[in-house]
Amino acid sequence: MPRIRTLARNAGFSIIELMIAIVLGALVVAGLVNVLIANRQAYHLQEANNYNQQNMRFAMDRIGWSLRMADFFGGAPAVDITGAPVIPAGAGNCNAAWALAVTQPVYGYDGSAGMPADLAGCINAANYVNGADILILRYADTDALEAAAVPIPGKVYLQVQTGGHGVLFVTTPPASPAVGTPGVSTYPYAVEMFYLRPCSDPGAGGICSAGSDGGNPIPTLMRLRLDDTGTLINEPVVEGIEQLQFEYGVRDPLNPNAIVPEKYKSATAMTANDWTNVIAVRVGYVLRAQTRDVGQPHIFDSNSTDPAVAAFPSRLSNDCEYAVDTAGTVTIAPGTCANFSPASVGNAKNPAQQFARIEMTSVVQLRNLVRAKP
Amino acid sequence: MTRFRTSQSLPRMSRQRGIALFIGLVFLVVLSLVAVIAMQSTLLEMRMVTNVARQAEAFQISDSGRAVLTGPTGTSLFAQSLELGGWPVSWGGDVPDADFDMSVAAGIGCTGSAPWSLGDCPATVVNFVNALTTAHGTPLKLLYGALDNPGADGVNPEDPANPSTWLTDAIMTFTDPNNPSGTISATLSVVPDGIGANAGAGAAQAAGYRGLGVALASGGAARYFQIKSAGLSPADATNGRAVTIAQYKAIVQ
Repeated sequence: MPRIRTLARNAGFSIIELMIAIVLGALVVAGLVNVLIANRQAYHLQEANNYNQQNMRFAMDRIGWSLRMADFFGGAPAVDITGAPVIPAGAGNCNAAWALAVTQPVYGYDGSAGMPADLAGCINAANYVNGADILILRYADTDALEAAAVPIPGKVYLQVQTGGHGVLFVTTPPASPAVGTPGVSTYPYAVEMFYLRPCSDPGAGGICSAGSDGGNPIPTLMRLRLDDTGTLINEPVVEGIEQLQFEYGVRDPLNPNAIVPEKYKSATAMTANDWTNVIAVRVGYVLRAQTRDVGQPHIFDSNSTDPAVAAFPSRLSNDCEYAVDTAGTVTIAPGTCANFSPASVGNAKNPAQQFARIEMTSVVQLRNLVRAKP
Repeated sequence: MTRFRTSQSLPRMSRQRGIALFIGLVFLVVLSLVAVIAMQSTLLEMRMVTNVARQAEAFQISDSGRAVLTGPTGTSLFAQSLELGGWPVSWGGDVPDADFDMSVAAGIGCTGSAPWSLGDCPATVVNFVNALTTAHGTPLKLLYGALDNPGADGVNPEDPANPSTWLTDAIMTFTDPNNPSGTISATLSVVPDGIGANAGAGAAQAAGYRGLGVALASGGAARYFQIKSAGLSPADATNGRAVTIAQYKAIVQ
């Protein structure tokens, strides 16, 4: 008898034991599920931040490099550069004369509805993010031709004598300054226009639409540049740039040795004289993650007034500030960011708050404009 | 009866304990793998961030390394050397120390003549002087002189269009401000880029005159040169290197 009872106890659990085990098990599993959900959210957040940071680093590197090169013409002032080679260049006002306008080494436009009139017809209106600034840089690129090298036919070069004059040419080098004379170099000529496009891959037609990038258009930093045939081509630089702002640090014209700008102005406020006195450019970026993260709202404020960081106020620029709250409502500061709306707004599937954003401002010194003036 | 129970249940109990241990070990291995993978990805990110920081540091040292040579007269070695045509006697040159004086104009707070007579110079100046070494032994080479022959490869002369042929002329090495046990350095190569007349100079009015040996009136001439600066952070360049090249114009009157 005792033997039978012992066997029965070993053979199974009573209902009470089973229930206690189930409750305890459920508690543990519930904890694990919570941990998993939290991990998943953290992972998505981190992934989005990494994506934003990497793109930001690349954009800063690229634009910073070009800004530092701007107005480098091999040791000759831009006014001493002649030559108007015939090249295909681009559409509309982005013609050969525009591409070769070396006396405007640094130039820009504030964001507006559609491209500014000066650039009419350059790129399709649908391929431009309204309200994002445009920056145009012209310079002699690195990688001067070595003495015996033959220029690539059709490509624009600048043959220049250091401290002398320079000539732009395609295919046939000019007689003066002559190759082989001390101080004469031949550089590839570069013109670059940075702007934002609403999508990364516009598809076969080449024009962005709501269906681009698989129905989730990613705002992309673009560059218009001269290729090896003298044609202006548009190419994506890096994805995920939602807003781009340029402000120009102008020095006191009476103090040409100044290395600190007197004030930063937006392109609209610049006068013709100001453009020759730009010694620094402040670049503001807002980056937006590639994929939506529906797990949690992402609030964003490009003009943070958090008292904890009052010493380092976070500002995008003087003429563009916007915020996204937890409900996904976008607030654009009155009178700023003319005609801009974050790309995801207007699409019910993509409330603005479902994208992680970061904001960054950097100042780049324009070395050549600082030092090249007599 | 008691004996029977004991002999029946003991083997079973011990078998169950063994399974628990085994399953526990399996879980431990799986969790360890997960932990190691997580740590590896963290390590990778750490390496990426370190490299970015090192690269930024190398870029800054590369960019600012030139400044010690190329500031205006009275604030930089290069301007003084260019103006006086040599290096001070105490550095193995032939310009009297007293003439090679950048302390007054620079306002760097030495009563002696920096950089050779350090005296009461501030630590920054002492560090700076100690930081500069020359790749050509003593005396320091006149940096703006002719193209070196042979250049970096030891066979062919320097080619102004090909920076990889430029010979290292001077090295500046500093203690890394962020990492006192490490050093960062800028390796400087200077090549001449010719000489031109300044606007307004007598020679500039006589069109066509350009080159060495041309007499110049009060407007003076300008020497052009390029400086390549390879910033290394740390100085042995295990993971940070940035090269920048700038063209300079030095006005000689």
